[in-house]
This record gives sequence, C-alpha cells and structure tokens, in this order.
Amino acid sequence: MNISDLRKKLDSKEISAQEIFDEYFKKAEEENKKINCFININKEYSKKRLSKENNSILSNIPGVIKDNISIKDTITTAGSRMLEKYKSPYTASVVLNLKDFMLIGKGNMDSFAFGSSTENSGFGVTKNPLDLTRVAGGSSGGVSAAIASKLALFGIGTDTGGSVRQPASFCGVVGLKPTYGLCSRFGLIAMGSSFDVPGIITQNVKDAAIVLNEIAGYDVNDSTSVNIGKKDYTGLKKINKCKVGILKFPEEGLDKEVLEGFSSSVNLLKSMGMDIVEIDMKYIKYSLSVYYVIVPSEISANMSRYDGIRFGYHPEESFSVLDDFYKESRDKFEDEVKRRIMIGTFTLSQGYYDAYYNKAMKVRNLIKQEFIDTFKDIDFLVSPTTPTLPFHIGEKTKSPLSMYLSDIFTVPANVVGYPAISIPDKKFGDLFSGLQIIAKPFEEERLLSFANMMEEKLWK
Amino acid sequence: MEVDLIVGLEIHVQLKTKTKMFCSCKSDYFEKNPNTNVCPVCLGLPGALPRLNRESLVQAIKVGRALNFEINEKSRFDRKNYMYPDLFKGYQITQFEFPINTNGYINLSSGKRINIYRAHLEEDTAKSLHEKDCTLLDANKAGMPLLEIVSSPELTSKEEAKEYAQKIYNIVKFIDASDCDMEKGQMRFDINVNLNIKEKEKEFRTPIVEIKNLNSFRSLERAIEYEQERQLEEFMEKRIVLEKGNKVTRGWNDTLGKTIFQRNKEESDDYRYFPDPDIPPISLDSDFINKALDKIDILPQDALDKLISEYKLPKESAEFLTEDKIFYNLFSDISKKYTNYSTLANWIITDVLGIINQSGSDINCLNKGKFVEILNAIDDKKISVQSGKEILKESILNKDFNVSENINSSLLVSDDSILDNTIKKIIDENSDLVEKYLSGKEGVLSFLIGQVLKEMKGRADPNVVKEKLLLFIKK
Repeated sequence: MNISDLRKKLDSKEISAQEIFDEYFKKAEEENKKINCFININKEYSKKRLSKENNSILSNIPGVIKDNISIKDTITTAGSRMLEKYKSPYTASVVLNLKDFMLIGKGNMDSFAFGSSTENSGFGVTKNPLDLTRVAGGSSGGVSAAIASKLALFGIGTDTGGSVRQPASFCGVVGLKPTYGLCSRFGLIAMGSSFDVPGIITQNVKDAAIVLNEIAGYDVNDSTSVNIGKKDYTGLKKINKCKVGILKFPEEGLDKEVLEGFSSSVNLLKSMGMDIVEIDMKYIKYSLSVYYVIVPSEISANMSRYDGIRFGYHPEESFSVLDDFYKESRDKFEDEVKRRIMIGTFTLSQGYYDAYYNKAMKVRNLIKQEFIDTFKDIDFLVSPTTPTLPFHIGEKTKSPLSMYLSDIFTVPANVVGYPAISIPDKKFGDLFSGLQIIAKPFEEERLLSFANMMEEKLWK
Repeated sequence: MEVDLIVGLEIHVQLKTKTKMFCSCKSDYFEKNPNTNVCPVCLGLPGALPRLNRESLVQAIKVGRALNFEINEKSRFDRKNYMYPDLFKGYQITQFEFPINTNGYINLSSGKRINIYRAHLEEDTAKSLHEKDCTLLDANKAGMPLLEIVSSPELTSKEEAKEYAQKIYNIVKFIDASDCDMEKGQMRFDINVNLNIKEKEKEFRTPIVEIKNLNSFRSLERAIEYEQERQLEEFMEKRIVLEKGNKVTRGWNDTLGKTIFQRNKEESDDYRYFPDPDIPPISLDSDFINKALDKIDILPQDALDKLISEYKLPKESAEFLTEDKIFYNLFSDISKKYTNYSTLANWIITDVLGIINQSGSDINCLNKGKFVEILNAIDDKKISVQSGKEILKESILNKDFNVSENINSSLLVSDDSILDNTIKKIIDENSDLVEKYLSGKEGVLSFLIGQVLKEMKGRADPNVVKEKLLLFIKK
C-alpha cells in the first residue's frame, strides 16, 4: 500500500478514516510490544482528530513523527527521560504542513538524537523488525522500524549526521534528507543546529516525494530556511543520461555484503548507460572529525535549557545552592548526552576554541568548497549508506567511536547541507544494504527522479 | 602619592521597538501580569528558534550614528553561554566578535573626547523575584532588545562618568531610540573601576572592580566615590595589584551606600562564545542603513548648533532645549508661528516647563495655538506679562479654559484716568513709604508698583505704572 493508493481508496470511500484508524492502531499496539518503535502511541489524540474532509493529500493518511518534533498537546520527549512529561504547547512547522494526517505515534529515538542505534533512548532500544536481535539504526530508529513494519505510510524524522538515512537503510526503507534550509526546523528539538534537518522515511521513493511536497517551503519562523518558491517534487521524470560520481573510499571496515551490493549497483548504473566518474575527494575524510567537534559544540549550548526549571526533570526537594539543583536535575541526562555536552564545552573553551571549533569551521568550509567543485562535473554522488549491515543490539554500545563510524558515509551531506537519499540496495537474507545518492543543493526534484528510477531497476 | 581613577562604563539601553528582539511578543510588558507576555521563543522552549526583529537593527543604527560609531555592514550574533535561572536558553544571544557598531565617541563639555569601543545588540533576560523561600521568574521582559554601549576606560572622575552617562542618556532619548526610563530598567549601568597609584617613582594598578546594574546617575556617582576610597584603603593595607584573573564583581547597596563583594570573576569568565547557528550573519545594505538614518530627523548636536546659529539663542537656552527632544520639538514647532525666538525660549524654559513641573501635568496639555495667542497679546501690549502668565497657567491646567475671552477680560486699561486715580490712591495710602522713597530709599518703589498692579488686577503695564508713579510722587 502506498500513499496514492490509500488516498484513492479514501476518496472513493472504499475505506473510511475510521477503518484506517482501527486497523492501524490495532497493528501499532501489537507491533510496538515486539519492536518498541513508539515512545507514545497517540490513539486518543488521533481519535478526536479524524478528519471529515479529505482536503489534503495526506488527510487521514497514517504517519509517525519522531519524538523530537513538537506537536501541541502531545508528550514530546526527544527520547530522553529528562523530558518524560514535557507536553509541547505548540506544533512544529513541518507538522503543521502535514495538515490533517493521522498521527499514529511518536517514534522512539536515541536521547536528543545522539546516537545511531536508539540504544541511547531513555525508553529502551527499538528492535529491527527484519531481525529482532539487531538494532533498527538511529537516531530515527523508531520511525524507520514503524515504516518497515508498515505501521504507517510515512514518517518524519530528523537527520543531523545520517539519522534518517542510516536507520532507513538498516530497516530496508527509503530515507530522504533534504537540503539544509528547504524544510523548517522550527519545532524540531535542536541537536546540531547547523546540521539538523527534518527528513522523510517511507516505503518507496514516490511516497517520499509526496511528503516532501507537503513539508518543503520557506518558514519565517526559521531564519535559516531558504525561500526558493514552491516546487512540485512529485512529477518524477526519467533521467536518461547523467554523470554519476562514484565515491572512492577505503574498503577496510566495510561489510562484504555492503561492498557487494554497492558494486552491483555501480554495474547497474553502467549498464543503464550512465556516465560514471570515480571521485576521489581530499577533504571528505575529515567530515566525521568536523562533525564531532561542531555538533557537540552546538549541543553543549542547545542542552543548557534543560535545567529542570520550566520543563524537564524537576527534583522534588528544594536546594539553597543553585549548583546543587543543577547537579540533581541535569543528572537525568543519558550518558551519551553528558558525553557530548562535555566534548562541546571543551571545544568551545577559552584556549581551545581556535584549535577545535574554529579549525573545524575552517575545514567545514574546505569540504563545502570541495563539494562545489566536485559537483561541477557530476550530477549525483553515490556511495553505500552505511559501512555495515544492521549490527546486533549491544554490539557497539561499549565503544562510542565504532558507533560514530557507522555514520561515515552519511555525515558529509550534513556537513555541506546537500540533499541525500538512501534506498534499499541489495537483500541479504532478511536484511538490506543501502545505497546513498547525494545531489546538488535544492535539486531534490532530480534526486527523487533518479532515486525512483534506481528503485525501479533494483527491485522491479 | 598620586592617585588616578580609571572608570569604564557599560550602558545597557532597552531599545524602543514594537516587539521583542527575536519573537513577536509585544514590548509594552510593563505592569502586565507576570508571564503573560511570552511565547515559545522567548520562553526558550525546546525547538523554538529566534527570528530577528529588524526594528532593533534600525534603532542600533540610529544610535550608531548619534554616537559617531562606524556602522558595520557585516555583523553577527553569537551565543554567550552561562547558566542562570533567568536566562532561559542557558545562553544569551549577543554580538561578540562582530558587533554592529564599533569605534564611536562623544565629547564632554570640557572638550575631552571619550572613546566608545562598541555598541552591540543583545537580548534581555527574564526577571528574578527573590521571595523568602523561593525565587520566582517573570519572562515578560525576556528577549527585549538591548544595546550595550561599552566605553573605553577613559573616565577619570565621578563627575566625568556622570556627565558621560547623562550625555548618552540625552542623545539616545533625543533620537527616540529608547525612552531610557531608569525606573523601568530601560537604562542601566555597569561600571569598571580601579586606581592607578604613583608612589615613589613606582606605579601600581588596583584590581578592577565591576559593579553591575546601577539604575540612577546618583548611584553611579556614589558607587564610584565609594569604590575610589575603598580601593585606596585596601591597597594601603594589602597592596594587592591588578593581575590576570583577579577582577572582582561587587554589588551596590544603595541604602547602605556601599559596594559589597559578590564573586571573583576568574571562574565564570569563560562564556564559550560561538556564532549562533540559528541566525544567519547580518548583512546590511546601504539602502537599509540610509532608511534607518532617515528616521533621525535631527541629531542633538545639530539641533544645538541650529538653535545657536539660526535662532540666535544663548548657549544655555539652546543646551536646555536640546536636552530633551520634546522641548526641542515644542520650540521648533512654535517658532514657525512666533518668531521672537529668545522670548519664546524663555517662556518655554521658565514658564511652560515651570508650570508643568509644579503641577505635575503633561506637556501635551499645552495648546500651541493658544500659547502663541497669549505671546502675541503681550507683544501687542494688549495684556501685561503677568496676566499672560496667569492665562497660560490656567490654559495648561484646564483644557476648556477660554484663552481669547480671558485675554479680552485682562486687557490693559487704556483709560488713563482709572490708572491715575489708582496711583493717587496708593500714594495716599502709603504716604510713609513715599516719604522713605523721597529720602533716598529707592527700593520701596517696586513695592508701590506692585501695589498698583495688584489693585489694577494686572491690567496695567508695569513700565507705564512706574513712569506715572514717579511723576505723581515728584509732584
């Protein structure tokens, strides 16, 4: 079932909103027990909001929203016990753009989106529906698992370093990270503000295009959003000939399945008559280092508001010394949150600012320039989405660094703000490897067309 | 031993804008119920993002021009990180590395130039209300636009510091960039004070003391005076000199008239500034700057020059009238209809403002047309100055007061016989005083004139009365 089919059934009254409601919530409640993909299931909320009209393309279409995206009157935890009881008094712009869709649940995630497996969630790990012993990826693991389990037709996640594409890849679904500035961040609980974007997770590329059509657009409430006018992303075209860059990367540490899947896709591209260019980029390998300096720096400031005074965990006892209060309230943060606050506090400190933050900003500019130069010659840059197939639960929790490396292919697009998509590449048993395609800024139209074509060639 | 005072001033001015700096909450929060003038942005709720109010840029540019700053086309907002309950995001959005205004100055009346490093934009915090066993927070003013004006430490006396602060106050108010109401916290001072002590060919500097949140010129002056004495005493006793990291923050207690130690600065000095990723760098085109500058109809210095050279007012009058834009506007409005400028200036300064200050009424109660009518009646010798003043006063205090009618009923008495008879009557009643006058005590004459005017109910010209009085006495 895709969005267009369900839309037709709803419009022709073949199925009613109530029937969709009953079916999807029943399934969500059952499946959630197995995979823990929701922090909250919003049955009561949606019951009151069943739309009588079918005005918009997403009217009464089931969707899931990652739990770091604010929705008025719903609990919005960002995956952290810190915000266990926080009810947002306002709704994020991207959610407003979805109009009267049917909210199934708020997706589980790594606490404040810090992580690549949802193992950092304050509400338990999300299991991969393809193999319950494995992680669903992260940080948008809950949303991806829900889409893979067909608990909704679309999901909105957030992508700071791969948090939409990596879990989509792990769960065998489609994950789109739009250009930085195309979709509003207003109402997204910030992680790395200059990297964060709302992203889309769907079962296929066409659905991603439909959802992008709804959520893309300038928002006065987000000063970093860009006004490029309204575009239609759903008219997916056939792309006959274009230049595709194949990113050269060291194969060490990559799963053989991933390499196998990727090389068969490269061969497919060749057989399609695409112009293949091998791309060797000098600075891209510093993306992860840049990311792990700038993002924690931004995080260290973004996390300061969780002091337990207006919202967040407020200790019961009273304190005469403010620092004692903070010690108690901020101890509620999960370990990975504390780790990143400490890294960021360090990189911004007097005497270290130039060596870390400032240098990382300079390298970020070099990488941006390198992308601009590279994309003068190519239309798309392809690579695997992740270096490995989904790993086992617990496999990497002891080693944050190896966990960080799972974002090695996805992070560069966030460093430079380019749009990127992950589609299932090849199936290995129950699992999939993922193919990542990066395009030029604000060329989502072409990116989706290309991805749609690849999806057809690979899977039909 | 020679002791020199070194003072630098940081002045926070709340800019006059319709809405807060980064959201659309209104700026007229004063006296609203606590936490009713708020939204997700100024409350720092998760996910909320700042949206810069361009009006605050306009006001900053105006101040930039008025204080002779270089107005920078490129500036940026940074995050200043520190945790305190009244700072909801845990960081303050401010301008650190690239402020909008740099390198300004003003001149003191002595001619001494005081350089001003910078004037940068930043958001205000919430208000803490410390109760007996808890602290309450009111976010109504959280996110109000502030301009922080940072002087170089070139002020060398409390008088200079006060004059500098007053000048900034007058200028900022004159160009309508802020109301500068100190009781409402729209202008407040942080001072940095230390001493340079020369002793037996050696020079010492005492540790810099920062005193925050002074809210009157008087407390500014008193705090400096107190600190000057305290630091000298402390130096004589402990000989501690300025070093990196021994800056101290002290608080001013107005009731005790003392500064009180608050904290050492060394620990909290690292604000970990970095560019705010939520606000793209500011790039002002010349068109935007010019439009902002057009909102200043005249700078206070130009207004002063104009009053002296064009209107030929004495310097003191001109200075008085340019202290407040309202005075200046009043004068320039009326001067279009009444061209005896120095008379006008005197009337405004002594009479109009005198009446207003005394009665506590508002300057808007003055009807400019009626005022001119009164002045013309005096000039035409229809009424006496004294009658004019009385009519003016009544007209300000009572808006329904009929000026024309009262001018008519106060007309100078043109019938000579009435005045003559009155003078004769006064001379008769005060024959003893007349004797005294004739014996050389000329001072009594003005009393006699006063008696005549009183009898005439102001409807006589004092000069004529004097003339006639002398004539009759000498008869």
